[in-house]
Amino acid sequence: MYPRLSFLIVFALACRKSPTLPETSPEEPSMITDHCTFDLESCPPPGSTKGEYEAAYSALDDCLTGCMDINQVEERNNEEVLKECALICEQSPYLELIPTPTSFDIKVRE
Amino acid sequence: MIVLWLACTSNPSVSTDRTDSIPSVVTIPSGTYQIGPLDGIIVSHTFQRSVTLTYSFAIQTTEVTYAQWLEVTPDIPNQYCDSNVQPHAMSPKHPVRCVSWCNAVVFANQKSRLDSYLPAYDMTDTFTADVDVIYCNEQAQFVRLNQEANGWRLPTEAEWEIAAATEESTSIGWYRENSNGHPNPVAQFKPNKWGLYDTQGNVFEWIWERFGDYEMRTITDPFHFEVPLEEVYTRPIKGGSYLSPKSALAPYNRPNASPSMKHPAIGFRLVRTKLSNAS
Repeated sequence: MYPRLSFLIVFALACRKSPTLPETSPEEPSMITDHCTFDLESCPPPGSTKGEYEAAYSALDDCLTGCMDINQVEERNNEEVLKECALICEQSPYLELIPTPTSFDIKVRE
Repeated sequence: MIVLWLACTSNPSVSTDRTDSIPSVVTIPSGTYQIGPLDGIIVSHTFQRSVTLTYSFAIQTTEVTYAQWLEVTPDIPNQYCDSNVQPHAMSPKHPVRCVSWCNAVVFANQKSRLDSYLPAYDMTDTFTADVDVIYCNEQAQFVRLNQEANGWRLPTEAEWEIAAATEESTSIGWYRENSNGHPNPVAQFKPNKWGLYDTQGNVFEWIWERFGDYEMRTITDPFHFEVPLEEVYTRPIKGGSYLSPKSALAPYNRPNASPSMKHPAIGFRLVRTKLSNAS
């Protein structure tokens, strides 16, 4: 379950349009922020609660997993199906609550 | 079984039977229409176009509901597809969903025969409601549209965009921010200027022809995609859904999916050509 979940989320994040990086030096200090109560990869943007984050994460995962369960067959390319599922599941609203570990979003929003 | 399903999924909130008092179809007249985003708005895969239709067509005012589906066939679409949707989201007034493009064209022909119209699609006898994923995607390209038929069919993308035209701030339906995460009964909001409901939100709607980037800004009777693309077989799905943010509901948006795709956020509505000899 969890490896599959990770694959789905990582794929969805990879599909996300790259954020515009702020004009800050790459040597900026850690993105870990005081508000985080869990590790960096799961750290929601400031203003979001852990509950909101988990709800968003869960909704996206439910939609993607359900879509894949119905439409995935051995003969088809998984990535092709997942792309279509991500399109229908409208990942973008959820991804606002699921920052990528490598983005500067968290720092910028503070 | 069906009775049990309906009994288990009844919902007091849809007992007000508004859909019984609205016309089931409206006619869109022939003419020249401007579709696509307004000048200055950049959208992927589309631009403003002038489309001339030399014929009128009738279009269903709502997305096909479970009740309408059951009038034609007892085979309820794969309910496992809806496993994450609350049972009350499957009342007779809800849009049918979990139907692939292949299911939709088969249904269209079935409904045509039931209504004594000439079926619009020519397809092999093996192209049935229970075609599997691979067969559906492989065979979709061989389904032929008979333009001289008066039977039910999926709308072309141009027909759909013309029919979905709406004034801003009206006719908005169910979308991510107000849907509570599931589809809702049809026709709960005001119709658009043609009398169509839920052209924005609730469920995406399948389109007949295959997807591809447009090249022509002026076109007449576009029944088929303008440029043959052997490697592309996805079909547009229009109007956004209960999962879409409000910002993604514009009629000109062009997400697309494989003909075999089944999802609780995808349904359809049907049209039929109004032939000049008064069909």
